[in-house]
Amino acid sequence: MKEDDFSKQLDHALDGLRRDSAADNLDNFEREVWAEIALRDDHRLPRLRRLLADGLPTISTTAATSVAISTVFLAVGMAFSRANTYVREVSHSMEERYVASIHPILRSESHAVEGVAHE
Amino acid sequence: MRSLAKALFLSICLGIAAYLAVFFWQKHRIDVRHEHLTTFQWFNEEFDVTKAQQEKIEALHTAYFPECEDHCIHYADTKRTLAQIAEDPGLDQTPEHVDAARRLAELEKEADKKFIDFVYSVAAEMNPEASARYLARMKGWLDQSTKLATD
Repeated sequence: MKEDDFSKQLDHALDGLRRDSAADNLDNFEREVWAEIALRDDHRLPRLRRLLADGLPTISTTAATSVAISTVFLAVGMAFSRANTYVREVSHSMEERYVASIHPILRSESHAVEGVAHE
Repeated sequence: MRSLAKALFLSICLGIAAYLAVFFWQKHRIDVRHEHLTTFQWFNEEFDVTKAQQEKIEALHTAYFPECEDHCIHYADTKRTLAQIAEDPGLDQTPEHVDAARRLAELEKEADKKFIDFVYSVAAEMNPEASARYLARMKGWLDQSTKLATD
């Protein structure tokens, strides 16, 4: 049987079974249909949840603690690195203000920008 | 034994919390430090200016500021005049237009010269290493002002 014909028949049977709740005397084909329904109704989220709960391996408490400590160290390092970038940004902004106070053209541009900001 | 998923989830949560706590603590410290810092205080800290050098350099800055402000006002006025002339097609290439453009170019050259003279006079009072660093940084800004002027 072609794949398309099978899908059509499957959809038809699916509709029929959904209308008829008394599905006690199922033949093999209908059982297959119910199996397909179960697969189709099985959403990704519950599958993922089951995978996370049962599918992933377990690790020892020591390993879990090591992972947590390593993550915290990495995060602290990243935070200090970001803070360094921030201090450079602040310093650059101070330098910009300093230069704007000693170069007439940059001073003029700085006043113009401030003027636009006030408007 | 612990589920790997739970361990990873908790580690990521802890990591995010640690990152945010440390970064905002540092940011607050930096902000507080810079909040009341004047540009001259920043200059002293950035270029390791000693107390003895500070007095001379501060005197140089104080003497230069009014001159710089005058030049700034003159430059802004000339630029505004030129912009007004440029807006009027009837004044295109008139002697007023040519004169304003020439005056603006002169002011730009004078501004750069004043700036260069000033930074060299300041650098002369600093330590050799800080002086070289200061001049290199100021050169970057000079290039930027030239770009601004040509735009």
